[in-house]
This record gives sequence, C-alpha cells and structure tokens, in this order.
Amino acid sequence: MLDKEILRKLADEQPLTAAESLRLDEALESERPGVSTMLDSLEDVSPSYAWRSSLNLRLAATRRAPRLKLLLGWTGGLTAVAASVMALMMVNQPKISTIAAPAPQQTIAKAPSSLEEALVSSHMQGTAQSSIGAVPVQGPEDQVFDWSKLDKS
Amino acid sequence: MVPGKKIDAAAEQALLEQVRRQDLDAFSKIVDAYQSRIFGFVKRMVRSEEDALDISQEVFVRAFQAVDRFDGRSGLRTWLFRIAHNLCVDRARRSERMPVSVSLEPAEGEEGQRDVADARWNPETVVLREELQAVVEEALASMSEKLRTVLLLHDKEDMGYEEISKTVDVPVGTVKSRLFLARAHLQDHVGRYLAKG
Repeated sequence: MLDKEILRKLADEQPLTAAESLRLDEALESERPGVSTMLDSLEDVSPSYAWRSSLNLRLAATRRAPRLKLLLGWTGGLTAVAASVMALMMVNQPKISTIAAPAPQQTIAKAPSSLEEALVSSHMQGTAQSSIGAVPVQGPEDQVFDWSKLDKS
Repeated sequence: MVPGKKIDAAAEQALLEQVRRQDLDAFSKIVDAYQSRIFGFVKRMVRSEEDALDISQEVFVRAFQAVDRFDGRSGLRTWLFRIAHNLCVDRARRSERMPVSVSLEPAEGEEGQRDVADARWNPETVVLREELQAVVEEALASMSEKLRTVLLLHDKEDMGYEEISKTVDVPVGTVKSRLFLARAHLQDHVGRYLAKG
C-alpha cells in the first residue's frame, strides 16, 4: 500500500527516499504473481511464412552489400593509386631534347601558273596514265616463235 | 530450430560468432528464437498489425547489419528488444500518437490509498480466458507507451530491472516507478471489467 505522496513522486519520476524505495519494492514484489499470470496468458503469434520469406530476402540483400562495398572500395582504391602514379610520372618525367622535324621537300609538282599550263599538264598526266595501262608488258614470251624450226628438227 | 525455442548463453555466443561472419543460417536460428516475442512486443507497442510486421523485420535487419558493433555486454535479448523499443518509439513519434495519461487519482472509497494485492487480481476468478486476454490487451493499449514497455518487458518477458534499464535507457528507479504505475493502470482496468460482472 502506497500513500499519495509516493504515488505523486512515482508519477513525476522523482527520486524516492530509502524508506519509500523499500515500500515500493515490497509493493512490486507482492503484486508480481498476479500480473505475470495475466500477461503470460497473452498469446504471442508468430509472423507468417510470407513475412519470414520477405525477411530472408532482405537479409540476403543486406549480406551482399558489404561485399559490393568492398569490391567498389578496392576498385576505387586501385584506380586512385594508378592515377597518382601516372600523375607522378608525368610530373617527374626527364626532359627529352626535341628533334626538329625535317622541312618538307618539294616533292609535289609546282602548281601551274596559268590555265594553259594546267590544261597541258592535265593532258600529259592523263596520257601517261593511259599509256601505262595500254602498253602491253614486254617480255621474252612476246618474241615471235618460229614453229617451223621445231618441225625441221 | 523450433521457432520460439530459447537459446542458452553458450549457444547464443557461438551463433553470434557465426553471424559476425555473415552466416545467414546462424542468424536464422536467432530469428527463430526471437521472432514471436519481438513481434508480440512490437504489436502491443504500435497496435497496428502492418506496422508491427514492418518494424519486426526492421529489428532483425538492423541487428544483422550491426552485429559487429554488438559487444555482448548487455545480452542478445536486451539488444534485440532495445532495437525494437527504439523503432517503436520512432514510429510513434512519426505518427504523433498521443499516449493516454495515467490517472493517479484514487477511486471512490479508497481514501488515498491503493491496495495493490487486490483479490480481484486472481485470474481464477475470471471465467473466460479469452475475455480476460481481451481486457488485458485493452488495458495495455490504453496505457502510455513508457508504462507499457516496462510492464511487457518485466512481466511478460521476465526481464530484470537492470536489463530493462539498459533496454529503455532509464535509471532502475524509473523502471520501478513505471512498473508500479503500469500495474496500477492494469489493475484499475481489469477491476472495472470484473466489477461489471
């Protein structure tokens, strides 16, 4: 049995004196069996199989996440290291004496200065190309063979 | 493992070691052992079946994710119920559900004193078990979240004061105060029901 003063302190969650604490402990101990019996009678229902299945999927997804993070971490780390090394190499690269590129030789035919020259040049080039294609290849096979000599021998 | 079957301390430690190595089979055994109790606790805390299912799942997912940070000082049960409690509190805050306050005014005729060991508490006086369960559930639902938590953990889950103190992160004295008030609330509620006949 607790009086009003203790109840007020309990409601306000104020500290109790030693004597009050003792009375509270006694009260809690005396009423425990009845309350526990009542609460024990409450049934705990297990969640469904669907709930469990869904939980298993979530747990499996959770388990994969650290591996992915680890992989990404490693990949990112290696990439960063490689980039740093390359940058370092570029900065500390020994100076190489540059070689001047040779001046382009005048291998291209001089551009014609007039229309007539251009026409002549064009004609000449066309003739040269067609003559290359038209002239048969001269070889020993092209020499005239005298078959009659064979008959005589 | 049979769902709901309790795990002894040694087996629990062995399972935790396996779980730290991301062993899902080992964690399944822990889920088997605690899913009904966690779900029962959460369901009585949030009162919505859908929320309870969602939060219960979240409890185990978070436990699995954070198992590396679990140092084992408080015990697996305390840890799981602490996660469950925190999630319930967060959900309640989000939904801005106002808890029903407990009246400490004595009932008529009590003259400022409360007889804790009331004979009406004896469950044998209740004829229908189902009816009593319904009344107790109703009483639990009508009390504040703070009181309900302590009552369920102490008188339903058989946790000690120290363990509850670690679970809900309040001093032991506060745990005792809340437990007394929660029981008083339950007593009033069931008493009124019994008085109706």
